[in-house]
Amino acid sequence: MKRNRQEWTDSVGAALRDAEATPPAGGWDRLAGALAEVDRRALAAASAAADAAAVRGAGAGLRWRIYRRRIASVAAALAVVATGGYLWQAADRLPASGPAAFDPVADALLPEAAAGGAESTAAHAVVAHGTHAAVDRGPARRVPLPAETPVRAKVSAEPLPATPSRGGAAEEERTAEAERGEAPAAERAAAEPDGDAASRETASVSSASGRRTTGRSIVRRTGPEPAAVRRTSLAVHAGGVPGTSGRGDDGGLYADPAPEATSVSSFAHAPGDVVSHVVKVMTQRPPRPVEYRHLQPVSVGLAVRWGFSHGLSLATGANYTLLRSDARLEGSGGWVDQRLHFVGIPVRLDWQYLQRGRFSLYIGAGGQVEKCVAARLDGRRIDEPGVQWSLSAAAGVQCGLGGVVALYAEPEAAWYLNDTWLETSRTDHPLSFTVRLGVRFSF
Amino acid sequence: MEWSEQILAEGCRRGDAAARRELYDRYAGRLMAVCLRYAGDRAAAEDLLHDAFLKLYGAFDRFEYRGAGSLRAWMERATVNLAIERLRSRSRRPEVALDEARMPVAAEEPGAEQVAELPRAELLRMVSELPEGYRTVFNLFCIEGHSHREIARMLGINEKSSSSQLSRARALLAARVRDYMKCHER
Repeated sequence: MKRNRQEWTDSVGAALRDAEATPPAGGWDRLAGALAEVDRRALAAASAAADAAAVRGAGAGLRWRIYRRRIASVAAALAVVATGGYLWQAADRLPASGPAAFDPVADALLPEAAAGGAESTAAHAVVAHGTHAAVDRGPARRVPLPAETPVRAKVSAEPLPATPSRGGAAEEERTAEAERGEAPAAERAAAEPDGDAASRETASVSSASGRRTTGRSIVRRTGPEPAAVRRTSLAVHAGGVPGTSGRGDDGGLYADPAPEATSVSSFAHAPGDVVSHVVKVMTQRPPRPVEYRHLQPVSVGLAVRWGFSHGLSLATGANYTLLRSDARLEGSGGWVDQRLHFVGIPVRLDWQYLQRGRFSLYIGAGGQVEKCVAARLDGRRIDEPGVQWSLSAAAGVQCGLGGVVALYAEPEAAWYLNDTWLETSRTDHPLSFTVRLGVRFSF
Repeated sequence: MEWSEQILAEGCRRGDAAARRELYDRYAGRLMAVCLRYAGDRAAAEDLLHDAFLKLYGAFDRFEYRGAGSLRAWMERATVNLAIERLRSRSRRPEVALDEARMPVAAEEPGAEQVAELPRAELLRMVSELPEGYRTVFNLFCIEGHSHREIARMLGINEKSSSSQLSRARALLAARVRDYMKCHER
C-alpha cells in the first residue's frame, strides 16, 4: 500500500514538475513597465548607496565634510556653555588686588572702598553668611568700619562655590591671618561678644583658586563637603540613545533613520519596495543581511575618576554596550535577531567649571576603544574582528545627595571612526548622542 | 537563433531588454505553473509571477551557470522561495478549515498509471485547489523533494505538523483524483 502511495505521488510530482500554464495576458507589458521604473529608481538608489559607501570608506575627510555642521554645532554649544560658566564664575570672583573686579553693588555700599587708595586694594575678604555675603574692602591690617555700621552686600543668592582648590583655602586663610597678627578665626569667634560678632561681620574673598578671609568672625560652610574636592570617584552608569521612536506594531524601539544617513538599509526600509531588492543585490554581499531595523542601544558601565587641580579630572573605566537589530537575510522570509555585545574602555578628560551648592557642571572630551566580544545573527555566532574606535564629547551635571553619593546625567556625543562588519545603528549614524545617568561615589 | 542559457543570463545581468523579454517568453509558462501550485488561485499566482520576475531580473549577478537546465532550476527555486516568503509574512491564520481537518483519510488511493493518464492542467488545478497548508507541504515534499525537517524549518512549523499535513493532502488529492476519474469513466 505504501509503495503504491509513493508511486502515485511520484507520478503527480513528475507530471507537475514539467507542467506549464498560460502566462497572464499582457503580463510582459506590465512587467516591462515595472522594470523601467525599477531601473530608474535603482539607478538613483545605487548612486546614493555608492555615496554612502564612499562616506563610510573614505575616512575622516569625507565624514568631516558630511558631519562638520553637527560637530561644529556640538563644539559651539560646549564652548558657549564653558565660556558662560567661566564668566559667571569670574563675575563672582574677587581677585587679590585691584578694584576693577569688585562687585559694583558692594562698591556703592562701601564708602571707604570707593575712596580707593592703596589700602583699600591691599586686602579684602568676604564672609558667606547664609545666602548673603558682606564685603569689606579694608587695608591689609583691617581698618574698623565706621561707627559699627554693618556692611552687607548681596553678592550671590546662593552659597558660595567650593572649588577644587578649596582644600588649600583654609591654609591660605590661616596664613593671611598669621601675617596680620590676628588670632585664628575660630579663636576670634569664640572671643567675640555675641551681639557684636553678628553685626560686625567681615568680608572674605571667594574665588576659583581659593578663599581669603580676614576679620573677626568667620562663618564657615556647614553640611557635607562637596564632592568636587574629593580626589577620586567611582561611578556606575547606564545610558541609551535619546530621540528614538517606538513602533507600536512591533512593540519595540527602533531608531529612525536619519535622512542624511542614506544607506542601503535605509532604502531597504520601505516594506514591499521592489527597488530594495535590486539595490541590495548590487551593493551587498551574501550572507550579510540585506535589511535592518535597529533597536535602541543600551549601555552600562563603571567609571573611575581622579581629580587634579583646576577642576580637571581623568576618567576611565569599562562599558558594556548591547546593539540589537532586526535583520533580514537574502532569500529568507522573516526577520532574525542580531545582537552585538561590546566591551569598551573609555578615557576622558573632564573639567568642572562650575559649582553651585550641591550642583556642579562639567564638560569632557575623550575617546573609547571597544571590542565586540560576542555577535550573534539568527542564533549563529559571527566573528567580529578588530576594534571600534570613537571620539566623544560630553557635558554633565552632578547633584550631590550628601555624603559621598551624587547623581549625575551626561549627554554625550560620540563619533565612531570605523565600522563593524555587521551593520549596527552606529553604521547608519556614526555620530550618535547618548544620555548617561549614573551614581557617583566620591572618596 | 535560440539564446543559450548563459547568453540569456548575461544579457539579463546587463539589463538588456531583448534578453529580458526572451527570458520571460521562455520561462513564464513554467513559472506560472509553479506559482499556481503555491498561490492557489490565478490572480494571486499572476501577482506572484510578476514579483518573481522582478526579483529575478535584479538578482542575475548571483546566478552561476552550472550546465544546461541550471537557469531554469535557479529561477524555479527563487520563485518557490518567494512564494514561501509570502506565505510566512502573511498574517497567521488557521491553515486548514475544520471540516477538512476532520476529513477521513481516503481508503483507496489511485495507481501511478491512472495518475499518469490525467491531463497535467487538471492535476495542476487539483493541487492548486488544496487548502494552503496542505498544498504547500505537498508541493515541497512531493515535487521539490524536501524532507519534513527542511519543510518544518522553511515554514516555521514542527516536523509532525508537516507530516500530518502531507498525509491529509494526499488523502484529499487522492479523493479528488478518484472523483475525476469516476466522472470521466462514464
